[in-house]
Amino acid sequence: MTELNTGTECENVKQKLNHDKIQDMTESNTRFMNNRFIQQRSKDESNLKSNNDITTLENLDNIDSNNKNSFIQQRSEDESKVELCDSISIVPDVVLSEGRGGEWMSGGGGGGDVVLSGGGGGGDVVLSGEGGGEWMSGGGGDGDVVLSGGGGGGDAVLSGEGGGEWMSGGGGGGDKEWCVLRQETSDDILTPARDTTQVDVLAPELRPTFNLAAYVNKSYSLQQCVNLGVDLSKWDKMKGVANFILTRDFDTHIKPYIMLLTDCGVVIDDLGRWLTINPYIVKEQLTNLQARVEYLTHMSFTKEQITRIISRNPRWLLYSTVHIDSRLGFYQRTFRLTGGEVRTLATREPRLITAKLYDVKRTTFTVLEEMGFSHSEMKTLLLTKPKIWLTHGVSLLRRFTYVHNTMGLTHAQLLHFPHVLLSRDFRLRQRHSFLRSIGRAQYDPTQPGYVSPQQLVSGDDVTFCSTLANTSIQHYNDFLKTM
Amino acid sequence: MKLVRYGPEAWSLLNGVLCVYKPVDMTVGFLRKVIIGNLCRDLNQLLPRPQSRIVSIEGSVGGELAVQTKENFADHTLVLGPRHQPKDVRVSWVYHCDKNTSGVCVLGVNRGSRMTQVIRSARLIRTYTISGELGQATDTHYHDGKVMEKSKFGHVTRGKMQRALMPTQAAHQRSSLSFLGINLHSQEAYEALSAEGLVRPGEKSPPLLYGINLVDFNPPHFTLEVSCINETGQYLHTLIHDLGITLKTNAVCTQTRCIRYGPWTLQHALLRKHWSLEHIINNMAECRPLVHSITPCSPSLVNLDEREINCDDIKSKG
Repeated sequence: MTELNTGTECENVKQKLNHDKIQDMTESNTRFMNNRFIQQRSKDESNLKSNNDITTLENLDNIDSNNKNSFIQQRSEDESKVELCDSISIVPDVVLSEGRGGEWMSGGGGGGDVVLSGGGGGGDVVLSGEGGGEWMSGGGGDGDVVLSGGGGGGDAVLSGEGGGEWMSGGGGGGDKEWCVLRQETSDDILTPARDTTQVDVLAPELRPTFNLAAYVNKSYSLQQCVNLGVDLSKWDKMKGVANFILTRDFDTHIKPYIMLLTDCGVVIDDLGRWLTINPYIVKEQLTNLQARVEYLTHMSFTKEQITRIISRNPRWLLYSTVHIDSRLGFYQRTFRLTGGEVRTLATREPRLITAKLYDVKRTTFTVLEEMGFSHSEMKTLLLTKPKIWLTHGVSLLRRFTYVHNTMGLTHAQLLHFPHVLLSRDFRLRQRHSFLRSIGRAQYDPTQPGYVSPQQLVSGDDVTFCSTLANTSIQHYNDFLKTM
Repeated sequence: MKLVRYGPEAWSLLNGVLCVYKPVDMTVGFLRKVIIGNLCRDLNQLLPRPQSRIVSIEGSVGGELAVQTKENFADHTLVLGPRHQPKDVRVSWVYHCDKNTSGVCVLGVNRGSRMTQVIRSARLIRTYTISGELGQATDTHYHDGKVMEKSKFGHVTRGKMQRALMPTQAAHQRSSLSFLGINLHSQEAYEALSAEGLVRPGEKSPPLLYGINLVDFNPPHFTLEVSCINETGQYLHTLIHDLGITLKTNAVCTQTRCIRYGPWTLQHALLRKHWSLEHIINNMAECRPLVHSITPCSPSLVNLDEREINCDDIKSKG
């Protein structure tokens, strides 16, 4: 199987790659098992609320969790009564929520559930997202009451995914479990006795935060990421990244992925940019990623091609082999490409393969119907300038209208100079109207005084004035002030 | 001439009033976004503020305590983001320029945005060149609208057009007296009325035209030069439309270009390719004396300088 020739062959490919699918399916099972493992840890972890060492979870395993739990349960029942008196009152079968509390409610569908989320402070931002939903979906037993008082301290981030399993573990018996999380003061009774002679533990605990900068000085993993060149400020803006990245240890959880990437040929200096764009890769199973790289080898992409694909499009590896395969098939069918051409296209513009299908179809419609290119011309355009398909169809059409109707370039000329369609609107307008005003706008190569459309849109204004317009830059600037 | 390499130093220079050439088809909001983006891009290329260090105390209380300074990751550019971010820069405009209007646009940057209020309250005169095309009318009165009507325009001559413009100008000059913002039976009003020349409105007023000239007549295209106050882009389009109807034909506006706003002319305006940190800071220095030359006194009683309306000096330069 070397070429992707027809749609039916794509089906064959799918069958051949069935083992990949199975892997993808078993992936969820494995993850489930892993989650059970994490659940055990997070149970201890969230009780301890040791947010100084959030990434190194191993040392927490030593603590006898059973004793701790019973003790905490006892204490927290008393504690919750106090908490309720001064903050909020419980109304059974009623869901009270403030701030971001609404997101939690979506998960909790149980009959007698009472979900209280009081005092939604800053920390809720970190708290919410996946964490909230999973939490309640886990604790779906009847009569479960989940209280979250205060603003949610350091462990707001800590809980993340683990929170849900914690509740499901505890609520399995159907007993009411009162879990009151208080982080406002550092002398929390839930905090285990610590070695107060250590200076580090005397520091106040971390407050709820909007960004990772608050944690970076205490987290070895984040520091390693920064040293790699990852832009954490970008991660702050991406949804849900802070929740899972803080629970990952650099050496055990992130390093294997970096090894995989370097094996694929991603340059070390490029890793920072790569991980900035796609931190979600550490959530994937390593075996799945290997299967996805293997798929490309199987489809006879060369090693250099694979390197380019993965470096240029960090999100590629997030998509399953089935998804990628169907996309490659789509391009082959829509544009009637040969197998080699599909590979060239995927290598030249890997972002196009994972682009939204709606946008691609929209641009295809623009090129074919609104601009009036023929099918074979469209294929040429795609293979010479695949970036055209990454632009917005509407702005592409606007540019084409100007170039074709006002400047008078033919379709054949545009096939020669597809870059004109990608140049900026105002630059085209400024330069063309200037040339027209001095009588040099002549784009017909058979006539004297020919101006190449490629040269028209490339180079800076000084070069444009000296080579094409033959005027001074001052003259051009004065003209621009009459537009 | 001074060479600036340090980012915060350039930032401290970034206060003042700025004059740009707004291209057509760009809203003022988008213009502001572009300028802020360009400023941040250029500021971040300069030498950044150095990363601070933190003092860390390690060890146990009973034993040895080691005090040392460490690298503060929380102050790293990759963690905090770029040193200069778009939300840090404040840019405001003196008057709202219509999307279809190109030309002089005066903006205030950072502390300079306070000055925009001062400039606005001085009620300066704006001068536009408005181009029109005879023979058709659109629904928006601008050339990109849907064509609603077409008509012949062979009978329109330069003289006829000038005669059609005169009554409009006269009517506006009469009406400017009613927007002085003072009691008409007072001494102040007497002085204002008996003053030579023209007076500006002292309060909110409808658009007032102080001068209309026909500068170019080349049927079907023609160009007017209009000095006015309190106008909007839509008003100028309608002016052309009404002119067409007065001439027993149709006319549509093809361009409105602001060539002057008080002391600011096209010479001060920065072209889009020059919207960079270096040019902007230089332009602010150029604009500073102009801002100080503006008299903030009550405008209604100040006679308009003839030079402020007569644009011959601009034409000779531009």
